Amino acid sequence: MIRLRHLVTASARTLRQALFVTTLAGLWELAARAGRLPALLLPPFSDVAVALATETASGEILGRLGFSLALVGVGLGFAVLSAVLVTAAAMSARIVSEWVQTLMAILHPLPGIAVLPIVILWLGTGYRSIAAVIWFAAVWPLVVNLHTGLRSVPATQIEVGRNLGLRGLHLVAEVLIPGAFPHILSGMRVAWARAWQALVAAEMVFGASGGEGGLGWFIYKRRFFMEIPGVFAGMIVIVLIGLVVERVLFESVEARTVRRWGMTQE
Amino acid sequence: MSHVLRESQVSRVSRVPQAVQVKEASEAGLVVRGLGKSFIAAGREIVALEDISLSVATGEFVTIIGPSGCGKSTLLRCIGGFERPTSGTVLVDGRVAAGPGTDRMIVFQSFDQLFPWLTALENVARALRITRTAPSVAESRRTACAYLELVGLSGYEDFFPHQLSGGMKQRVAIARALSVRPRVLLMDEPFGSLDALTRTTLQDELTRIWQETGVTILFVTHNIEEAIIQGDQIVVLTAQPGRVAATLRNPLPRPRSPEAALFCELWETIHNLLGFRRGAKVGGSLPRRRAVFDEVDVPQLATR
Ligand SMILES: Nc1ncnc2c1ncn2[C@@H]1O[C@H](COP(=O)(O)OP(=O)(O)O)[C@@H](O)[C@H]1O
Ligand SMILES: [Mg+2]
Repeated sequence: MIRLRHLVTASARTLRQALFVTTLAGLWELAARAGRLPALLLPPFSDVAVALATETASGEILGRLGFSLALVGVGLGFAVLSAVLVTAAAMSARIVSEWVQTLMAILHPLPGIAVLPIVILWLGTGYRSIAAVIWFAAVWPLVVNLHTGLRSVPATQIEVGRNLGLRGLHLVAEVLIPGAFPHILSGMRVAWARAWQALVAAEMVFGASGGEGGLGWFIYKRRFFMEIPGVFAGMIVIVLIGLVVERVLFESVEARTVRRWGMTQE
Repeated sequence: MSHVLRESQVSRVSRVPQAVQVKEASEAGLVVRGLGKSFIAAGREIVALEDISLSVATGEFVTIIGPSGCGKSTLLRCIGGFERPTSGTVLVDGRVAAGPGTDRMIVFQSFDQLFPWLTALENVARALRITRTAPSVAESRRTACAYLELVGLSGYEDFFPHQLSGGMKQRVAIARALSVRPRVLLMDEPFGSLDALTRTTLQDELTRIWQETGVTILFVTHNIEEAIIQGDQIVVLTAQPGRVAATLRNPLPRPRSPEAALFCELWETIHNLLGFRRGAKVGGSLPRRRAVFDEVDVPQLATR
């Protein structure tokens, strides 16, 4: 009963949001069709929708999307791996923890894309450089959250684990990781958002020099050939992916874990 | 309580001069011998415990009573293997116990001792799997169910800790600790954060569980009433440094009612031992006890 009402209010909200977005698209269409603005700068929404449909049908968008997601996957994967190693080192010795904290203070405020020139110098302009930028954008939020998460696990729970005979990696797997999970999840969220932004930015900088590319490269290409509806179509796909990952993936993971366990911070 | 009963209780107990070294406790059970613990804090040494000796025979229910800060938790943590004693030894069934182990399971005071990501059932079942007490997952769930039933939580198997009340959480913690079949259950003020009513209920429940399972229990509290209701032997600790002021054998039959005259006298004796009587010396030599408990009092081990 309560769940049903919850569902109704939730869907009512979704409905209102959809209505709002549709209205925005309608206004966009009207503004573009009014003829005051050159179609090159603001193509009508319908043209964008058509471009989105044809680019999807031709497989172009899916191909670019697959490339982008694979890159983010590689970058994030390495970021998670190094965050785990760095945190493990920081937990094992106080001096390492101090180094990590100092490094973090220096490097965390630096946007991932800002290291691109150096990365290009070191790794060239291939996909490896993009992966490196993604790695850099994602690794610090992961380290911060993993670190605070592990330290936030109540001492009593760790002692219960030790009382049951858990030590070392077993203790980490059975008690520390699940206990730190709320922080790990929010770290993953921030890391994903930063990685996705860094990816698009890096791809756009590389532009025409790469033979193959992702969504950013797709947008760059369409702009190069002045196919502006295609540019907007690419942007819409980027927004959609961001929404899907945040709203569908992370929300459902959160509902199934942290919220079910009553481990949310609020 | 009737006068006859009291007489019989008193006469059952041998009269042992206080200074005389009592026979060594039997091998079975928990023995703490000459345990001392000091901390270095803020550049100076703090003696938390000094020369603590006590014994808990198998199947016995012993309570430790002492004021806050007298080192009760420290003592339990030393026994549990979470602190290394500065001196002395902890023996379980005659073997030296060092480091944590499932033969000494601790139930803590704080409500966050359950793993929040596991249901009540899984909290117990997981412990059974980790300790390899249960040979399979299915078996561990069956056993966990039985232990939840023992602590009166049937029907709450699938509740997560955040959906349970404080008292229920402590019940799960007790079930989990018991499920791995410890030689002694160490309880550090497990009901200290509960309201008075829940506390009374859980005291009765714990007594029942103890009677049903025959588990050996060492129970820490700063509540005199609780110490009397639960313990067959009551170890009275005084503070700074924590020392055994006396070890009393509880003459009251179960179930113990605070209205009984003997209860009140025992209460007062402990109260005095803790140094709450005007003019009584705290810590050092033992304050004088009332006549009736001079007879009842049996120092189980040397109190120096
Ligand atoms: N880790 C520690 N470092 C320094 N002092 C401690 C530590 N743990 C306990 N103590 C001191 O030992 C004494 C006994 O503490 P505790 O065992 O918690 O008492 P109780 O449980 O009886 O209230 C206190 O004076 C406390 O400050
Ligand atoms: Mg304490």
